[in-house]
Amino acid sequence: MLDNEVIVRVGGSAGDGVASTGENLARTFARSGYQVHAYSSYQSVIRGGHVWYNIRAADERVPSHGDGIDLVVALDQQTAELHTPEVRAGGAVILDEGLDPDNLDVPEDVRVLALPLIEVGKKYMNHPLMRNTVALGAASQLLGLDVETLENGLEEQFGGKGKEVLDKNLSAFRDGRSLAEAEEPIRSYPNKGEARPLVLGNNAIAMGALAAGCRFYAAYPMTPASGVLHYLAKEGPEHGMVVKQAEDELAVMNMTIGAGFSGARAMCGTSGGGFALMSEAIGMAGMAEIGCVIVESMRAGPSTGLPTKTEQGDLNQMFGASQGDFPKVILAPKNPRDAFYATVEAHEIADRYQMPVILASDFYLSEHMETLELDDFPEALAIDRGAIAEPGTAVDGSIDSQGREVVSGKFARYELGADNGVSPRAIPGTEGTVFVAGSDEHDEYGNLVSDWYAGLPQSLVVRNQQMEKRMGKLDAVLAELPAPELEGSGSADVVIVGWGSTHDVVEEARRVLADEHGIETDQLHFKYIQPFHADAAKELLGDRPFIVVEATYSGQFERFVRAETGLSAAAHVRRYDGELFAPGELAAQLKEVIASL
Amino acid sequence: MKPHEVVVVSGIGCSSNLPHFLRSYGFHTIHGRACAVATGVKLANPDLHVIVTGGDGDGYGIGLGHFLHACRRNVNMTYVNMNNQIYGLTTGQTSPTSLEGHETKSTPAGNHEYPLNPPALALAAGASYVARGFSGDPKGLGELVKGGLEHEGFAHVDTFSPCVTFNKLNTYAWFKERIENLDDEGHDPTDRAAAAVKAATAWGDPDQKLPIGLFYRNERPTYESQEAAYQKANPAKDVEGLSNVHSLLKKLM
Repeated sequence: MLDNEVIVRVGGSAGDGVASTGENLARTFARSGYQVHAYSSYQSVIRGGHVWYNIRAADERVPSHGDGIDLVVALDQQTAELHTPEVRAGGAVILDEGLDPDNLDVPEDVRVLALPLIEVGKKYMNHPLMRNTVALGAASQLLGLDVETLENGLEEQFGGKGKEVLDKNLSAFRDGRSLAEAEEPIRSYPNKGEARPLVLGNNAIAMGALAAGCRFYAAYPMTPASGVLHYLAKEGPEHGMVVKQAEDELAVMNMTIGAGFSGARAMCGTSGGGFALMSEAIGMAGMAEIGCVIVESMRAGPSTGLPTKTEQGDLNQMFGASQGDFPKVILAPKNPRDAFYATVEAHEIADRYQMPVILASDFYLSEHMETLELDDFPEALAIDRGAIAEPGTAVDGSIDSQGREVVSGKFARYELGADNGVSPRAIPGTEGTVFVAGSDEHDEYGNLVSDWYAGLPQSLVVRNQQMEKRMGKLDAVLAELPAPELEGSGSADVVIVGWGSTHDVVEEARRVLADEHGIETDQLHFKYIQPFHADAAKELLGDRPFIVVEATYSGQFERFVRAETGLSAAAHVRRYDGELFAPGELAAQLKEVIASL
Repeated sequence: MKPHEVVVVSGIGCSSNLPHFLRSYGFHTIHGRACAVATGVKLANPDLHVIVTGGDGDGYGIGLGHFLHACRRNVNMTYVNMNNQIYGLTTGQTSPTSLEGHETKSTPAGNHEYPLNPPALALAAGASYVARGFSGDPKGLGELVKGGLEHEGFAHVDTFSPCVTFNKLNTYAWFKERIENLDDEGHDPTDRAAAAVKAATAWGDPDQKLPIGLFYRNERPTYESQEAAYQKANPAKDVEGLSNVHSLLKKLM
């Protein structure tokens, strides 16, 4: 358990206003000086079904959605039935008195408050969602939340709908508080100042792109990446960013590469099915040496799968994106703060090394919110665009950097000779650096060696040189990327290995293992997947048994580690049901696995 | 229009080799995606002059979706499609514009699909400059392409471009028997209804007349002219990091 933690879960059907009410509570905690983790669990429906919003607040950083619940706000019967059994001692369930409170499986020392939420709401307006505002009032009483902060939140939510609607909601809210007045609060969370920004993973990625000078974003709406599109469509244009929803992911990827060719820092975003469509074009970016960033926010597959659930199952697809060998980078940030920096890093690598960079997110990372510290972020970001050819480099009769006379006004865009394999790029519109980029194999000038030169002795040399030039860039990238670090004492009996968004919940699970079960573990977590620090990984793992935790059925990351290091995991913990790892639950699983080693 | 200000974007196919024959910037992309790549090139730097090129297989088969959306999007660029009603680079299969009955390597018993009608499609999708030329009339074709380059918006110039190696049906002689000039017919290119009739009725029947010339032109606003981002920056030229990251974060407080 975290310092002064509380877990609130609002639940109902799609269309019941679950997310609005939940977000209001989450923001209130964040504005009151608490650290917050908020996760929205929803379904691929627009109305009906079962959706819930989980808020975990504490006096220290909240790394996951935790285990158990302290307060359930049930807007329908199904929520009350499903989530009441998870409420911890001292907690409560709020539901409308018209539902069936007697039919619930209530744990010991948990109160069920059946209140006239709908009736009170109707007093002010005959709209079903008034019940939510009343419930918010009652919940705020049980959590000792600051009234002014909450009412400001209501003003933000309803202000745009006119004074009358706002006033009715404020009255309903206050009546809701009165309904729970006589109840002992679960705990008290008054406003202690020090508001923090509450940032969605997708928004962190979007902000990172803007901060890094990305000024072209294309996407096709797809859960869970659409949030990046929505954020940038709103905030992008005033920063000079063109945001384009295209007709399909084929167009998205190809437009993004076109924009990169023109010299813009360009990015696109999608999920597994959309990425599959982008695959062919990614190879073109690698072959033509054009930088671009692709955000793949993974969701539960295969195929259409579970669109609103999380998984890490597209790793193989990212490795396999496009035919043949070409340089590409895969980064997998661990949380929203890391995602901001990873996006900036992705653009730097894409621009300087002229290659496609895949940013691996997943439903969980993209769609949950965390409070961040403003001071964790720079106010201004300086960027490095890498080697760009000066105008007039390739004028007929001049001598190029390799000592050759320039003919036909062609610029040697794919010039050999640099240690890191990077040849200066030419920005279209620049005089004297004209060239043709191509998806066919080419020589230093971009002339194809696939047509009438193919197979000729000199062409074999050229082909090999260009392949080695391109692939050699990855060695240079690896040298620049920070090596992975072992977390923990360094001498525990077992190492827990993972990648991407599982870092924080694994870290919390290790804390539970240590504090509650007396088991010490170390953690080796990977953010840089391709290129991979295989040597560092081998050294850090040594000959200790390691357990791979990942959200895949087939152990995609485990197999990758074995392929790169030659080391086999002693065991693994996998889930592929689409739900989140929880720290206590994961600790129990790890304990069992460790005992069996 | 200086060569270094021009980008020629092509797909894959014999006609997609064109960028390599010119002295401007070029991008020889992947099959069917030229219109999409070109859109990205132009939107990232609207100061560039963008020309898109490719064949009927590339542009009207795998690339059909991007072509239609380019017509409705009206980004200022010129698309010249060299339509030879066959897949030449892969040595002679049927194409989306092959006539019914055409015997090819993939349809030895004769193609039994109705051929697509590119100018009709362009018109229906809202293209603001719809033309068709013939490589056997280079002067006329040149005028149509020039008109497209000068036109502010998406210009489509479908071009009958016989493949002398792999298409023994739609030859120069075959075309010369059927070509008629819209100008000679007194066609008014501002009349969309008349253009639709001319475009739609002249296809399918191998013995029908085939009109060439400018079917239709209008001056509706380009996509770029309505893009708010350009008031602040040119995405490709004004690349710099943000200097007010905290203001973005504060909006989420």
